[in-house]
Amino acid sequence: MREVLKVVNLKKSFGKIKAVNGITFSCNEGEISVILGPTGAGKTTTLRLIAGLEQPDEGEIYLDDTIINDLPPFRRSCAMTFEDYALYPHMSVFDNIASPLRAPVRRKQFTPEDVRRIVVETAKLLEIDKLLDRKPSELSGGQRQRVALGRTLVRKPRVFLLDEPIAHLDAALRHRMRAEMKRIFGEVKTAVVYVTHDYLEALALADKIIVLRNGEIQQTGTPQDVYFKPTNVFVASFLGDPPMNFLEAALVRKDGHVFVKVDGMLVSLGEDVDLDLSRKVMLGIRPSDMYILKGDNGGGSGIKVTIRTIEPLGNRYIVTALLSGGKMIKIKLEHRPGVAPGDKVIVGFLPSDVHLFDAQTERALWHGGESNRG
Amino acid sequence: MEGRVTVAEVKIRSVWKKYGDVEAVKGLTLDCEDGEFLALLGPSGCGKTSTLRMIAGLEEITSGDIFIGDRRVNDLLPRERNISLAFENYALYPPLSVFENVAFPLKAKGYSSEVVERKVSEILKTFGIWELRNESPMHLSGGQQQLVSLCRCLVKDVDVYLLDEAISHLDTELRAYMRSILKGMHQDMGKTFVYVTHDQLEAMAMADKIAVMNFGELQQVDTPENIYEHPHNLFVAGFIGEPPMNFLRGKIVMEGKYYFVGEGYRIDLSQGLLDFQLVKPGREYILGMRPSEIDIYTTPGEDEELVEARVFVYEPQADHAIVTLLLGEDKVIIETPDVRELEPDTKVFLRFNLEKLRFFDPVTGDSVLQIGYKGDKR
Repeated sequence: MREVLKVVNLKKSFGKIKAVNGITFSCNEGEISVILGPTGAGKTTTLRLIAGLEQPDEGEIYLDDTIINDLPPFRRSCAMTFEDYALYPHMSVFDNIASPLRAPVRRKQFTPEDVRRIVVETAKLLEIDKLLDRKPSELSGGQRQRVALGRTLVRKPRVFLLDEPIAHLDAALRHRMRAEMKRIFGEVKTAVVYVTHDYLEALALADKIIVLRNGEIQQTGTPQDVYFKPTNVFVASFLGDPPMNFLEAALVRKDGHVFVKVDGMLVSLGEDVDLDLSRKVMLGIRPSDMYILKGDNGGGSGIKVTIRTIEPLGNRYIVTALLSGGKMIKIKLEHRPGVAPGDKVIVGFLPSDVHLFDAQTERALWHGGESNRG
Repeated sequence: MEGRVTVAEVKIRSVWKKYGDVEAVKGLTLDCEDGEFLALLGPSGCGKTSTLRMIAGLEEITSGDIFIGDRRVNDLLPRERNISLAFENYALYPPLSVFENVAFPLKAKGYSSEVVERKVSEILKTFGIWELRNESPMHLSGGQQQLVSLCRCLVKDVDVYLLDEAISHLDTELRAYMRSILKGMHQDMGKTFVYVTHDQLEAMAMADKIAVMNFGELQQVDTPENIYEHPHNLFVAGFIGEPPMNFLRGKIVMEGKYYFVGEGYRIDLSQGLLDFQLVKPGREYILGMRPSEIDIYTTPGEDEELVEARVFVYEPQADHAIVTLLLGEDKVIIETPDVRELEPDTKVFLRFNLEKLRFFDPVTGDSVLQIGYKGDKR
């Protein structure tokens, strides 16, 4: 697939704050690249650098193999939509969508008939063709969002830049718009750079996820890679709700097998595991990869816990439990847990769902199930 | 202690609140049992905060009665009601440290400094803000200030705790974490909590009982599980659950078997247990199905009639997927544990979980299969 956009060693500081600190990635035609991270990670700054709204301190931005660092925003063929839509309040929906086609730089390219045809086609794609005479104030949040998207689409840019485009919508509308955006971007075959703090949005939309924290890339990969093979503790805990559980653990060798020892329990990792046994490790296990074994005399291997709370969330239950030392863990179940607060039970998990991290560097050392997930 | 009652149930009887011509609360009758965690849930403007403020004594009751235990509290001052409050907007004392803010109500009650020290330390540690104890509230983030305010509310020993959007300013992850902390705290205290929120997950996670409100009227009061499984009307059905419930419009029709016939598709109902006293053939209904209650197949059923649909878009969520489908003229969202990607326009076949059928009257929006409804809807 053709590479459209590439940023190399991009840096940008505001005073002492290194907002973007040497990031490199590329985006292909017809793919959605999602920049995912918490507030202050540098996501929006990255997008603004690409759009030309900020100048980088260092690094290059390439569009189709040409450096565009010195081009003004309107010559970059990058179209950006903002979190707050930034529609013209006095203009109709039609005129808002048409505005980029009537901009001075493009005015000679399009006749009024062209403009009408493009706007109507785009509005049909977005299912807002019946609203073209309305003003933004007469629209719902979701409709405004589509108008903003429409205004971006008509420019037929090489790259779409989207900054949290659906963060302001209520849950029902967010789900609908997310699906519709994915479908629309699947049809227009442009490169898309999409910024969000919501990992479920990233998983849903992305061909490629770029996890950003403190201006630095933590991991770049497919949604499967980032979720099942996180490179460090941050990525592992940022993608997940509740976040992954982390337990102090030690590595031991017994009968040729490597085991993780956690809270008195031994979990076999298999024969051919090559790990430095002297290292302090953390065992990571997702709440959805744990299960409850009733009664603490079952004899099976597991961790002894006391149930603290049970949260029924409709299609799932979140159980909070305490280890003997007071450490809190979460278990996510799809059925009624059949336990009550105060119950002492054993929780178990499969070695194939275990992730190991270096306790000092927080880097991933080993992922269970890596071989069968490829 | 003064004004102490032995059984701290809250009873709301035919309560109205009017601000001029605006009817904020319309004839609300609702009980919160002693020791219960009751969530008042609804969108902004539904009357939940007005209700809480009337229980607290911060708003006058236009008509009706509120009881705490066996005392009618309509005419009592807030401080005479033996309640404790936490608001969305903190109201901390800026010159005092975090510790002193939380200690303030205890000192005012004349507890010994030893007891104050112990109680305040304990609660600050429970809510993970012990490290902030010497800070001024002015130096804290909105979320941290809210936790201080929550601690100050819960550290008191009263009959009823009234909490208004008490963790709304925390970021998503911390809010989810605090749900279990607050729920555990309520379990330990065994006290009566009335908790106002617009966030359905918060209400579901923590409450023993949820009262869903809209436009000043009570829609349903029930356990979280019943609210989710058996919503009494379209509003409750659509407000609870994410992704939201699918609503399909159609008719029950006898075509050799009973079918639900929508625009461009039909669903075989013959395997479902339908009570035709309640659901009348020939009538129009809205069928409500949660995304997790529809199974998706890539081949047609052999000895059963599955419903054909086309993939609109497929969204992977790592360990499950959300698929939006075109079903006749309708769009339907499905949650599936199957994580094999489906291309747009792929033909698929659906099986509806007939144990979960929910029919709503398209005019009134009310469920026509109401199971175990005990609430008083005026």
